[in-house]
Amino acid sequence: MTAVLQVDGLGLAAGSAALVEDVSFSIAPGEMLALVGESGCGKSVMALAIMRLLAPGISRTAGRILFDGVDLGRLDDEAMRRLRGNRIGMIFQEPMTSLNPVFSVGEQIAEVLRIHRAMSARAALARAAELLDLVGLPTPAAQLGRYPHQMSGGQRQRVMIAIALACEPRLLIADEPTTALDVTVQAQILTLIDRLRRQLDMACLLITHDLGVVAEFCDRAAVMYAGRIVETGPAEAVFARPRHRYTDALVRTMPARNPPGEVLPAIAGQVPAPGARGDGCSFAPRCGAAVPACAGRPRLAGDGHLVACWDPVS
Amino acid sequence: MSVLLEVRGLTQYYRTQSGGILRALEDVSFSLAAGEVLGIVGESGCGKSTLGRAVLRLTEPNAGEVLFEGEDVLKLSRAALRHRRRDMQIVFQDPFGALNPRHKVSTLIGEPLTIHGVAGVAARVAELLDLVGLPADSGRRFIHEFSGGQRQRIAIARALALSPKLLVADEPVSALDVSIQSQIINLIAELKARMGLAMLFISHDLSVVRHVSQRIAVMYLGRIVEIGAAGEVFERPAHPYTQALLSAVPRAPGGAVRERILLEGDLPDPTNPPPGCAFHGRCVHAMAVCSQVRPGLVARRVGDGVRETACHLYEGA
Repeated sequence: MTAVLQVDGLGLAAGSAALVEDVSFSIAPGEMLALVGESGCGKSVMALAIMRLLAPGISRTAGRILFDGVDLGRLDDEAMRRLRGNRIGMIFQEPMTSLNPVFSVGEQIAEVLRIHRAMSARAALARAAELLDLVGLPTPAAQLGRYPHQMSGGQRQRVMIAIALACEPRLLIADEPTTALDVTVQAQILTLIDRLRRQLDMACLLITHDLGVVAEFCDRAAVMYAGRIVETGPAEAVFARPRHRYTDALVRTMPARNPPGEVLPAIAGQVPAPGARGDGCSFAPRCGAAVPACAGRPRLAGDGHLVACWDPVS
Repeated sequence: MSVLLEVRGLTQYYRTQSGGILRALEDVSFSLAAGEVLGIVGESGCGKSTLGRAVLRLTEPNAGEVLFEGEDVLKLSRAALRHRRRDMQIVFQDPFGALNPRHKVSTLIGEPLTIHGVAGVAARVAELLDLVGLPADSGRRFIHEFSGGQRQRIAIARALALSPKLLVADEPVSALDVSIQSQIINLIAELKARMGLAMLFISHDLSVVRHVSQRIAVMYLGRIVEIGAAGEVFERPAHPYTQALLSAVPRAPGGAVRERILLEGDLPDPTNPPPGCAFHGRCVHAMAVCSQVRPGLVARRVGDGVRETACHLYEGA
């Protein structure tokens, strides 16, 4: 099966400071890949790079991004605009800031259809109601005239998903889609995304810091640390049997994995800033099992379950 | 164990811009023993943060009593309240918002000592920095020079400066990354053990609350719907809302797959709460009585045991 999205050896930098280095992954139709990591690991800038929405000052230094076999770096601005919101949908963490407060929900969904599908106002609104039904909002026709501030966080995120799915994208990029939501709403939204990607055979890139979410909803996971993928493979295997020392330490430090009240096996120190990541393994200074080889950069290697570690957990 | 804090019928209303009455807290009662950690869980808008503030009288509750060592905090004069606050402190989610960026760390940590006229500020600040695991020279620096985890250490040092008996921790680790979160949880647990602190630990993260709390109170729309020993509430939740809440937590990686109860709809409007049990519209077990009579938070027979829960499914014990 050909990949919907293929990222090859991508490098991103802000000035001379590397943000992302040598990142490669691909996503097949109907597949959900999680990009996991802590603040500053480079996962969100990846999403912006795919959409070609990088902030001024951040540039691509290496590699390429293929969407349905087309190199996105070679498209002109107009062609890129036709892809965004059309064949590539996206949802972000905070639906309140992504939705326009002065337009009704119906108008905002219809706008996408009118721009990308040249639908009439009436047809676009009818389709908007269908989409609201698809994302599980009750009485969809009555929701069309409501404004974002009249809705709860979970309802707004459903509207964002409706907008992202309006043109039946081949790829959905979801950047921390449930981080601002309560846990019961999170379960609703992730279950919804999971159902829709299967139903629409849509490739899905889920960017998150929540390991539990990954293990439960994703097919494959890529763990990022300090701008690089350090481990990747089937989601279940990566977190049930982590091989990289960082992934292993992350899983071990989770409160849910420890007896209540016991001291948590914490990871000392903090993530190095871009530009201060060193030449070897970036995790080595915090790693409890560093060996002399860690002064050199480990390569991502393995069969199916890949790890970039000189002395992986066996 | 001696009771440190006894909260009875605590009620807090706010007037909304449109003139409605938002019932943030309704008739909340519980007690907290010296050195005990009570976890407060629930979703946005359930009143858990309001509860933390009302207990410290950072808001002026409309009704109820907050007995701290037997004395009603809500009836204290301003001067007496200020004196009492030595014993009750708070740590917030966002340490950057809680700490003045224009003051040096030594000033921030020493401020409570200065306000309460405690002698030997410099020596105590050095001691506190050491206590929370910050380098000795941190006092000379400013808050922007520190990472999120370090800032939370500074906020904790400031809260503990006067050796309080009660600490309200309102989402203290929610803004931190997983690897930093466990450092701070360990620190809080260590300080609690060392200083015999009692805590109200408020968080939406159930696995964190389970880890640090002896008892847990579950809130829904301004009321406690279930309260009990942490292990019992987590292993055998009685209230259907607690059951749904716990089932929604993504399982730990490698953990067992379990049945998920997906809640329909959203939280009811707190300016117009439904009659009877506030949860009845989303509850799979709802009976006719649930929409008519509000169930009281009383000891009820749940299976073989007894649990304090506000649900008609269980008879009074």
